Amino acid sequence: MAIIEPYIQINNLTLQFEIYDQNSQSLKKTIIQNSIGGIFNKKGGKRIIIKSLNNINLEIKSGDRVGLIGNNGSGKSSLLNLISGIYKQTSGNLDVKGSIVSILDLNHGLDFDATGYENILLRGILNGHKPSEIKKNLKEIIEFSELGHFINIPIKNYSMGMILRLAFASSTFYQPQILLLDEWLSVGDQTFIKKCEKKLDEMIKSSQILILASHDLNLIHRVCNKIVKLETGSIIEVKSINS
Amino acid sequence: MILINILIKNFHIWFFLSMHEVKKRYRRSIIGPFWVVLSNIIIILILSLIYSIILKKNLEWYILYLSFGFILWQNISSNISEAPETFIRSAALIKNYRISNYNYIFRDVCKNFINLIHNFPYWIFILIWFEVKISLYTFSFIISYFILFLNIIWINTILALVSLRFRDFNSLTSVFIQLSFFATPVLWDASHILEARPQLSWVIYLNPFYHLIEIFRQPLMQGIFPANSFIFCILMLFFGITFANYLMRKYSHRVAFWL
Repeated sequence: MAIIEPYIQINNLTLQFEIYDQNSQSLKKTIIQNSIGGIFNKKGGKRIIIKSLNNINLEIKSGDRVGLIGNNGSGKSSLLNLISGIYKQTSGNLDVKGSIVSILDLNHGLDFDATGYENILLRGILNGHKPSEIKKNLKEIIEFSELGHFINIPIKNYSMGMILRLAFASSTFYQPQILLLDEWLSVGDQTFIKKCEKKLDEMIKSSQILILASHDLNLIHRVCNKIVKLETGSIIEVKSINS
Repeated sequence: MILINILIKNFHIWFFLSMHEVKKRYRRSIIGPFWVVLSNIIIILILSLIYSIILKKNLEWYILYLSFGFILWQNISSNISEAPETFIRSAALIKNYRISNYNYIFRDVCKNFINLIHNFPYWIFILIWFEVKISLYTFSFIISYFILFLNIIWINTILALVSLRFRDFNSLTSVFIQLSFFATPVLWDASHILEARPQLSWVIYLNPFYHLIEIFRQPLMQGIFPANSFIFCILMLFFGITFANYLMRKYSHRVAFWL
């Protein structure tokens, strides 16, 4: 199988979405408004349109370790969601080549009633891997997570650190070409962070892309070689750094 | 058609997810979905005792009639009433994984159809117990199973999408399901209306639930192949899937924002 060089090409990308209040989420009220609009319009539901990303242009090539910085609400998470394919842009072009794994949310869809083992399977399936492929890697994933026999109990009984170990191990074991992280590396116990960093370094060495959104500048300087600064949905600075 | 394409291509995803749900059910209680089968049987027996007298029907015939109709109805109604919550319940997954939103609908429908299979031993038991004549057409219920499956998929796709955007649609659905139960020949027999008021026959013949149940009930109870009902269901399937597919093509990418 030919290996495709992963890259991300973003041109004039804009993302806006509507926030619905309770009135415009009601079918009854929407129908009333549209039929006898004039009278009720003042009280009717308001649609607030939020421009989350505004005219973004960015090119990310293999080997780039991009740190996304910016205040809360500057569009970091929206950009990650767009690249990972969860959101769809309102206008502009987004071209992503390569396999992606994104860890955007701390709970990221783990099933707390299921065991660690089952969650590894679930995570693999949801990331688009075939069951046979997952089973091949199972032993190594469990070993990496260092969870031992805890792997067979429901994860609602896990500590936060154990859940993170499971999440990291089950998400990164398939060597995605593009890894998206949202505020994630800065949690967990010291020894495991070291292990994660080693794993990340391995992935970067095999010319993969990492995009990390974080407020932790020290972390970004340690892990990344490129900084993209966002403010109110626009890129205001792109610079390279030497790690 | 994207819907069919994903149904086939992502089989390993949605089937795995629904098996996972069934497994969790078994973990909570050893006999799992068989609890539903058991409670259905009890309801069927008690209702049969009462309604066979009220409707002046032979008890044996009525038990058979209710065993197929009622179990199917229970499955259809629980399937459809879950639909408005499909995307809301899967919010965490939708916001974190790139798999098509169809998978969450397929997962829920498939889970309910695995539950339906749990009733088959009971069906086989009563077929033998009441010495129902088996013909080749009896086995056409296997085709019916897949026709019902695909029909529920388009119904649930539309319900899931509309009720995500308009949150009060959910209560409308439950009223509709309740009404349909009384308007569909499950407790009563279609002949009651067809004989007494032939001019009202459209109430039965235009009711999709009637045909969806009939494609099981007739082959299993009488060994008959109900060609008209099959044609109705297949036509409904064709238009339904086309419409559901159109809606999803237009709005699927907005699901993550509406959540």
